[in-house]
Amino acid sequence: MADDHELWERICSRDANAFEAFYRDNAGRLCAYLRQIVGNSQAAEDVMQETFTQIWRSPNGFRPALGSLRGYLFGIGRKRAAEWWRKRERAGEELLEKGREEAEEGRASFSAIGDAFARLTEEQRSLLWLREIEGQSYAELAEILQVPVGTVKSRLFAAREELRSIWHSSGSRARSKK
Amino acid sequence: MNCTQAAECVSALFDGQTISREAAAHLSDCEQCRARLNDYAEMGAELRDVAGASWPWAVPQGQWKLAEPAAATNWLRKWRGTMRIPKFAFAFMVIVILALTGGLTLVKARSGGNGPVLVLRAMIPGKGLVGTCTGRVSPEQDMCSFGMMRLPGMLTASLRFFSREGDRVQIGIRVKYEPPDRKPAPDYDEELKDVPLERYWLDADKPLSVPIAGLGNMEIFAEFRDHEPPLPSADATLDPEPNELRIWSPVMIRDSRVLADFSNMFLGSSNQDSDSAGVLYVPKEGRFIFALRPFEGAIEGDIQSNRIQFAENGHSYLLVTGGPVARANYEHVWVLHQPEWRPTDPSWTDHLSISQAKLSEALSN
Repeated sequence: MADDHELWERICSRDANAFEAFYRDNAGRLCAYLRQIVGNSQAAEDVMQETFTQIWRSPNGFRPALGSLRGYLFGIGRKRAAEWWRKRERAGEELLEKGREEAEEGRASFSAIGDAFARLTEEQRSLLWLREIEGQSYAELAEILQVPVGTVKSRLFAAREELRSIWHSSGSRARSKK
Repeated sequence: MNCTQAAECVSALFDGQTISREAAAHLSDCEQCRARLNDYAEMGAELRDVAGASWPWAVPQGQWKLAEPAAATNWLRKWRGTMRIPKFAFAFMVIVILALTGGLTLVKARSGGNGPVLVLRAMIPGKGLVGTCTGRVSPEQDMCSFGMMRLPGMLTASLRFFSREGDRVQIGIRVKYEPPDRKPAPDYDEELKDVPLERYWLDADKPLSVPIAGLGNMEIFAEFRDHEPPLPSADATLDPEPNELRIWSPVMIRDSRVLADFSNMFLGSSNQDSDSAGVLYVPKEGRFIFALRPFEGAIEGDIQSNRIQFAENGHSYLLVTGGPVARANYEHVWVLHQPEWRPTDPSWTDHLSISQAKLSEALSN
């Protein structure tokens, strides 16, 4: 936490080297997460770049007491991804439908568990990714998703049950174990 | 407890959360719940495997550097290269636009909108202006602290300047709101000593919204001027309000020698009443409490427009301020000098301070 605080102080004081290091450490992970939300690699990269640009231009709002710097980054990334979807919606239903198809393709291609994971809702994918892959704590998830800790707990349970149900019903589990 | 009731606890247990003794007892005996826990572990492991395999691509070059002002020239160069209309036509269009907007530009330049003096105004929507900070700024400089009582409750804030990039400014904010019926600390710094400093960037043309627990949002407006405004707030007038004791940017003189110069420090507001007092602290000299009514231990002084005169222990004092001290029906002021008084925070012992307080509370501290 102390390191995060120091790094944040340097970013706020316009230390480009510190920000470059922060970018290199986190860009790949953030991109992988955003790909789960927006569905394709190019869009994920665009949103990731927008996220870092926003933080570099206006480094506001990180509170070390409430979570890690990476959690803060992922929270902003998630908001930018939501904006990306809203823009697609405004651009028209046709484009949106195309985007959803791309998203399905982008998410569903990597494995049996990936097939099951891709069938979860965006919120469930986001939550499970942040918990299982990024190891965010309940408190950090609450901060990223802007919901109470109790809600994080119940939504995580619901997401796991949904994933488990799809996994079992599709026979993916059996295939994965082979 | 049955499996349905314990199911959510399995998820929590898998995440390392504590669960109830009753749930733990059930899980230790229940095959079905243990199978659920194993499934969660297996799903988690597989997800991590595929996630690890899903980000093999190289991290793209950080385009965030475009946000640097210097990068604008690169953008301009690329844009020139891809321009689709004749350059002379574009140049003509730019000249026309400049000609049409020239008048507006001149008006803006006359207002001194890009000078070295930073003015920060803090407002609470629906409640109005709560504080103003003004001054020439240098990095890491504390600009001001202010408080507002009877919102209801009390808001205390302090602002620090960090840096400037064109029309953008980075400031640090400490802010705290206490609901009614709580006795405030004797000074702003004491009140804010445990509140972390948070940094924000704000643009000169749009407000920054700062959330305050229990109160809502505080909006901060930044403005650069080429001069320090003569009045401490945008809506202030030169006429003091009824019952207002106003001490703006005072200089205290003792026996023809300057004792203290409170440059850009202000005291006074429209919501004062007969129990209001002004408190001026001078390092090594203690504090001076001023009020528009007699109180125990105070000596009587005279008000003459923007001056207060009084005598104490063979010394004559003159306080010269930046505007009228009170309305004309007040010809006298009462002053109590406490030479042994020092701030509760030792780090403030060597700093001038000026504050408004309830007379009864000031006397009890």
